[in-house]
Amino acid sequence: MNDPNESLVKNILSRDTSQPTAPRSEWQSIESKINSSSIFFNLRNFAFAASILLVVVAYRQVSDRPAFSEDEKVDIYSYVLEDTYFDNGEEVTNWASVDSL
Amino acid sequence: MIIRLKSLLNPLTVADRTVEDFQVHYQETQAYVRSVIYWMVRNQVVDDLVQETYMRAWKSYKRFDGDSSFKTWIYTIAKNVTFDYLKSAKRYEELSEEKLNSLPSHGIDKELEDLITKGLLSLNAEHRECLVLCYKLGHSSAEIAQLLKIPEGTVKSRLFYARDKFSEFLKRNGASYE
Repeated sequence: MNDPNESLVKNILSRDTSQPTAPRSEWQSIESKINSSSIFFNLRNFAFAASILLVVVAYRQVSDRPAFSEDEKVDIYSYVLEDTYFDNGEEVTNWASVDSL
Repeated sequence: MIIRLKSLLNPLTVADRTVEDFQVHYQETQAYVRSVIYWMVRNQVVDDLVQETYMRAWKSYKRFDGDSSFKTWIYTIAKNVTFDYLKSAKRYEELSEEKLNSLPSHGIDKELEDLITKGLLSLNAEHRECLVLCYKLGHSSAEIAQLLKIPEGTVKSRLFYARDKFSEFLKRNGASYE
């Protein structure tokens, strides 16, 4: 059974055959927006690459500190752990020279 | 990985797709997209919304996996763009006389065109969408269900209410079969 509402809707809508057409330069406009967004994309990539480079350089700076040989390390540890590190054998008042008295 | 590197080196390449591929898709689908948007908003912002649709599509072009057709995919984007537009300031609730009068006439009776516009805009966006897809773009209920990713029963229900409300509006405003 045919729905009268459906017939009316079909009839009315079929009478409106309007269809907007694309502006002549629509694709050019879209393409130009794509290109502008690509420039932003490039800048973003550049910023990303620059920050990676910065991290690598910083890491290299830290890792390039002079490395001590095993013997040097032993010397350093022994010096640090020795009592002389805390007391170099001088009296605490040695700064006051006898000559200055 | 190579594709990712390629896309990094060439900004106009998204994954393995180029702007030229995108242009082909644009040419194949722009009339359909324009039609969908036109019948949903019925005013002069159609061209802006079409451009917005393709810009959004470009931004997520690399996520287009090709499982569905480009037409189905772009429809979803066009729908989102259109619904966003309609939601903003609830434009669909009111289309002023001034705006209606400024619509370009397409050769049919201006009074009838305005009546159809007002009738369509009196429907909620989901009902209008089903009505337009069915009666203007010629999709079946099954196709609409697939397009909107909803059950076919829901499509039929929406169509029923849309037809009912739209025809009531037309009758109330003296539309006939003439």
